[in-house]
Amino acid sequence: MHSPYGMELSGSCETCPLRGEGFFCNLQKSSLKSFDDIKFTSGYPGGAVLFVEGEGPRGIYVLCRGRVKLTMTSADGKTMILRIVKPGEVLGLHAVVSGKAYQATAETMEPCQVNFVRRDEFLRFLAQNSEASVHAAQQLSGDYQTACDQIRSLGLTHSASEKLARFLLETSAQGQATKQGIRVRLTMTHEEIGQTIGASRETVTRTLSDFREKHLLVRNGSMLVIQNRAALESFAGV
Amino acid sequence: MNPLGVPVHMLHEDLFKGLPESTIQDFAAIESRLFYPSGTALFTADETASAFFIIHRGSVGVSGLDWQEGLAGSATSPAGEVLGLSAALAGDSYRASARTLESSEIGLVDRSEFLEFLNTHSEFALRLVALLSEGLTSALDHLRALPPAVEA
Repeated sequence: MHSPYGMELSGSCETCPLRGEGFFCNLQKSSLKSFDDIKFTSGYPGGAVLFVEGEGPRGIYVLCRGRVKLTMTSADGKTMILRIVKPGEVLGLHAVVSGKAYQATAETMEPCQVNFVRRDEFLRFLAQNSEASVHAAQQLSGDYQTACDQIRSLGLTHSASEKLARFLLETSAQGQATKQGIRVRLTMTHEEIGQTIGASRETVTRTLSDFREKHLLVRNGSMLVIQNRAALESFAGV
Repeated sequence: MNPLGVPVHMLHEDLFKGLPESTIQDFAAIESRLFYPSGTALFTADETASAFFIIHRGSVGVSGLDWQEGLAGSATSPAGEVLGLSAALAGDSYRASARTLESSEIGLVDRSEFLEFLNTHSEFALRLVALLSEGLTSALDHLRALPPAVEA
């Protein structure tokens, strides 16, 4: 199946070359077949909105390829990034289960392959496949833990440097250890980082410069090298 | 409500309300109920969650920075509360530390046994999905309502 966004779409989960460790990817064959029967596979360009905060829950979206930004509007009207969704994760799950409106907006950050399942069919699928229910419970628990972490991070008074240091340390978990330090690709703009940690773009830019001047890190385009992790941890208070 | 102002805690009775007696009995078979003396550490923050706990009698002090396992600061979890469930299900770490405040009867449920139990008890798994969805909705509502950040 071809898509106009420079990627080949996989129509069947059973034979999908993208299948990984995602909660719906590693279902047993019979469950996967049932899932295949009810899902619609689509390709989206970057910047496409899958659903909007406040909208009624039409169904769930399983991200197969690409990255999706999940944002929410805070009490003071600012955009808050909840998390960047990775392939294998499910979007809109708790809204579909609870029947309440989507609580966030999902927007693709790059060309994505997404499986969509209508709400009524998904609920039937869950009821008939206990394995899928277990996977859903695990995904919800993970989302819940992430939300709690964010409440903790935003709700307790942290300085911008503390919050940015924490963000960089978390990001560096996917990094690579080199002689110069931990090398990690920073794929978010300063504005997006600000929306994640609850700071303005200007503050993020200023704090990153400050970290650079203190030789905590160096930056070359989107590549970031954390030179002094211990000092960054000290800023983060860990 | 806890000190962060969040509606808290999964309750034991919510998990089992209306479920068949056979399901409750099967669950009891994977739960180890023991009496713990006052001051016993049930789990500590950052430890990988390999089990969750049900307080049947007594009370547990929870300290740390999470609003389900604990709070910003500390709180007391009375009988009937379930601790560490989301961390255990997600295969994540506990976000808080828990210690009995008095002699307490606590049920311990091993993560891997619980996952097997869920796979064979779809009605319980569905109940759990519904409860976790409500919990996540509350958490996101709380996150949205946080006061604006003060930049320093």
